[in-house]
Amino acid sequence: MLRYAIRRLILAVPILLGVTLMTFVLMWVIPGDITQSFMDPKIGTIDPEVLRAVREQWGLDAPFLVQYGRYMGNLLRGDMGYTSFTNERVRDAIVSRLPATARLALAALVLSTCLGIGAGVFTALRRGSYLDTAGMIVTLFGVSVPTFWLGFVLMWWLAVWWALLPATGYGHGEWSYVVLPAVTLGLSYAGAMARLTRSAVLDVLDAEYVRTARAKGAGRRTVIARHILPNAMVPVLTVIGVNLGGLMAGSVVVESVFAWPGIGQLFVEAIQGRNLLLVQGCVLFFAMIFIVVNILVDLVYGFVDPRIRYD
Amino acid sequence: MDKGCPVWSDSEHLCGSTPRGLYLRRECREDAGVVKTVRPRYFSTLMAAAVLVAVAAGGPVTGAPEMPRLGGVYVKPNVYSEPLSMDPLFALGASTIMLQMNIFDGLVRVDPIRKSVVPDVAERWTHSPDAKTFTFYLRKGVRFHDGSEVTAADFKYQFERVANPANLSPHMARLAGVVGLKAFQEKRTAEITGIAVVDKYTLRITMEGSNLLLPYYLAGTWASAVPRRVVEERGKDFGVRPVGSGPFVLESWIRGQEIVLRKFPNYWRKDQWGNQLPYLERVVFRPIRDTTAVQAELEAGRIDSAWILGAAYDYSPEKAMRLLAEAGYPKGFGVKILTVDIPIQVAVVEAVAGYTTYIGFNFDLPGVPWRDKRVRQAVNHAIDRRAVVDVVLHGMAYPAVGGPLPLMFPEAQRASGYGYDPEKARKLLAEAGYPNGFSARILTRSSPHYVAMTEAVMGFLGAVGIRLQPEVLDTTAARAARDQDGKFELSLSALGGEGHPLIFLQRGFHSRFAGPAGNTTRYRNPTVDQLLDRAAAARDTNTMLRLVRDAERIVVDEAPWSSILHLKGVMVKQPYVRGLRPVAIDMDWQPLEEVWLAWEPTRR
Repeated sequence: MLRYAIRRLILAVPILLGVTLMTFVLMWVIPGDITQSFMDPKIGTIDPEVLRAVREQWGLDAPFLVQYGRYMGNLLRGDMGYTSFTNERVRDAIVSRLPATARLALAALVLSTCLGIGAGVFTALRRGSYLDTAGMIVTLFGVSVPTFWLGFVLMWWLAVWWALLPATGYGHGEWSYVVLPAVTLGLSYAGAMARLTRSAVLDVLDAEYVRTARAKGAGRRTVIARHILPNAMVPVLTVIGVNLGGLMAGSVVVESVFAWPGIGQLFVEAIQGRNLLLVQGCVLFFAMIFIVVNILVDLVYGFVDPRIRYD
Repeated sequence: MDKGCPVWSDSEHLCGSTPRGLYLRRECREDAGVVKTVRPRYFSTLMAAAVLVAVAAGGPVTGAPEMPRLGGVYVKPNVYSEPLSMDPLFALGASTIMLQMNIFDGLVRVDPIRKSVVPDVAERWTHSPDAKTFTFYLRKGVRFHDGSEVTAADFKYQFERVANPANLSPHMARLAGVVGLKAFQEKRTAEITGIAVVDKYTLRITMEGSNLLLPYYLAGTWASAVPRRVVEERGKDFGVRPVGSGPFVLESWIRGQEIVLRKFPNYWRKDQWGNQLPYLERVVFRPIRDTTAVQAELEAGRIDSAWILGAAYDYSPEKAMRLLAEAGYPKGFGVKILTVDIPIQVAVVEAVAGYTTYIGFNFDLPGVPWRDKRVRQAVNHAIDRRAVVDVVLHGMAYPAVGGPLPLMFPEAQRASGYGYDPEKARKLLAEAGYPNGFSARILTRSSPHYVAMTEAVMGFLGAVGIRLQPEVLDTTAARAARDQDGKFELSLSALGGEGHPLIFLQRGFHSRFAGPAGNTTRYRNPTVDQLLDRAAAARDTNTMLRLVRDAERIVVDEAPWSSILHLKGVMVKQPYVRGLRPVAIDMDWQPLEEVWLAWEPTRR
């Protein structure tokens, strides 16, 4: 199993290389670089000569391959560069935003998993009933509704009208601040999770071992807890893992809407400011999260389903 | 939720009950500070009508002036990206400037109301008759946050820091024309000889030529005093832990979360009653970039003010107008105060815009129709600016009927003769050889009000046969395409932010600034260049302004721009906030030392 994990990690290297190259190409294609922030019309004239000097000094005037080569050279030495004029390293900038992102992702994951699995099992066991249909319509809504829309609706309803929760920000770490973004983020994942759980449970419901369990007189609860759930959970587990990756990396919209000081917000600012090194850093981080989470999920399979072996 | 009924200041006066009578207002005593308003909780979900008392242009209402209240925490959104560095070496980005203004002091500053240069650390200054030598006399006893005294040497140190090419300050060229600058930058001298510390409190700057505008250039935050010892000790960290002599000290900066400024108790300024400034105990800047979220926080009472529509702020006019309509905001000038019971209590401070939004023609393209002056004039005649302002921007702007200069300048022309006249536009096009019009691409930004303005312009020009195809890019990309690459035909842009009409015209139309420096249309006219150069070298203000007017007249006739409108700057604030100024350049660039809270808000 260890050998498997190592092999997977080695395979991740070309993926990461591809990611850096693609990000570099994309940032190269979009007009503007970081010196664009100098040209705010409010700040007055910046001499074009000065801009040229700054570009030269920062190596922004070099051809694409030279810039990319330099970046990769530094990266291999573990140096992701600096964010701006201060001494802040890209690595530190990302690490400092990690707790906020992790907090939001975990809260949303717990919420989406509990709601999703609960609703999925509940509706599957009542297949064909009105409750099942209603549940599926609600989950369809959860899957389809865009997070930014849901975010604003919740914000206006719970933060402005009812004044129950703070609308945006991180506060000083109070849990009340995490509720709105986590619910917004969690609900969109919960819908998909519920539908998946439902179909997984339905698959297992007709399995022979479930019928056998019932035939030998096991109680309804025992059948669900001992025979249905453990077997239905294998595909669900994959999705939880992938969701965690998605939540860590994909909360860009929700973080922006709720002014949540996580990596998503950092990423958006980096793109708008054409802060190439910071964009690279964020994308690399997102890619790493996905790779690591996927490897972990694969390894966990082995524990959940003893038939799966990695040799 | 109880909201206090305050005693209002002389320019912002309100007392009384609401026309809807949704709640019981017991009484409102003008002498007793706060009176409670009792209201059943569930009404808080209802939209109630506005109570409005409009006071024309800051005119006083009867009653003694309200004395400023000390203390309190003022929370405002930072709608811009995080500051790159707070070191005045890099006075870049709107949020950086907003903070630097309150942490640092310069020799002079631009007064937001009078739009003229006023004293800061320099209590006065004189210039020689030939306007080449400026002597700045500094106040005594001005302290840095670390306790050391601000002296002339600190300014000289900062100016040389900025000019030093090794520091890569984007403001390097700001001191152009100072004697000895070149020798210093080429490392032939250890100092800029033209900047002389006469004594501890006197700084003399000598220019190679006459330059009456020098104080305007020195009003930027890049020209702030910094303590040499701290700067050298902290190095690049100075950008994160700055020390200035301004009204506030940077207390904490948690990226993405909040920036907190704390009152500097030894700040040198006092108000007219002799109170120590600043009034506020703390200012909290919260990075909220989404405009809907800003609005929600404002209405939830968790932030105290927000700039809702400005030239550089992407706020949909519909949203802004809905907010203002709910608040009962009428069109027009002046400072108005109004409250809406629920869900917002807002007051509005409005500034005359410091920007001009225009259609620019790219002069670098060969063989295009707009190289003919008549075509540009036709475009000018084809657009109904009043309609654009009223329909697209819902009155949140002034039509630019007077040429390129923003209305904040008293020198701005009020009429240019480019009235809405589609017939004349068609005639001019026919004379220029385009009786059936022509097609062109127009570069614009993706923010809602830009898109809306572009659509309107396309309609008006389409009516005279000019078929426009929009190219919509995000702000950074649009600027890059326009400024650096010059890859555009027509562009919808804005220019502004300058403290003087001459600087505005230089940036917009002098060939020296062709390209990214401001003259994005790459307009080149030797006569205009010469007039502007002569104005810049003028030895007295009257001559300067005469030459500025001459240059402006030519620019209006030649029409390298079709000026469309000047956006208004409007600040929405909670009713307890006092002392906000109508800052034309950027409503968020408030000098916060005079801001105070009339009563302690109950934050949720």
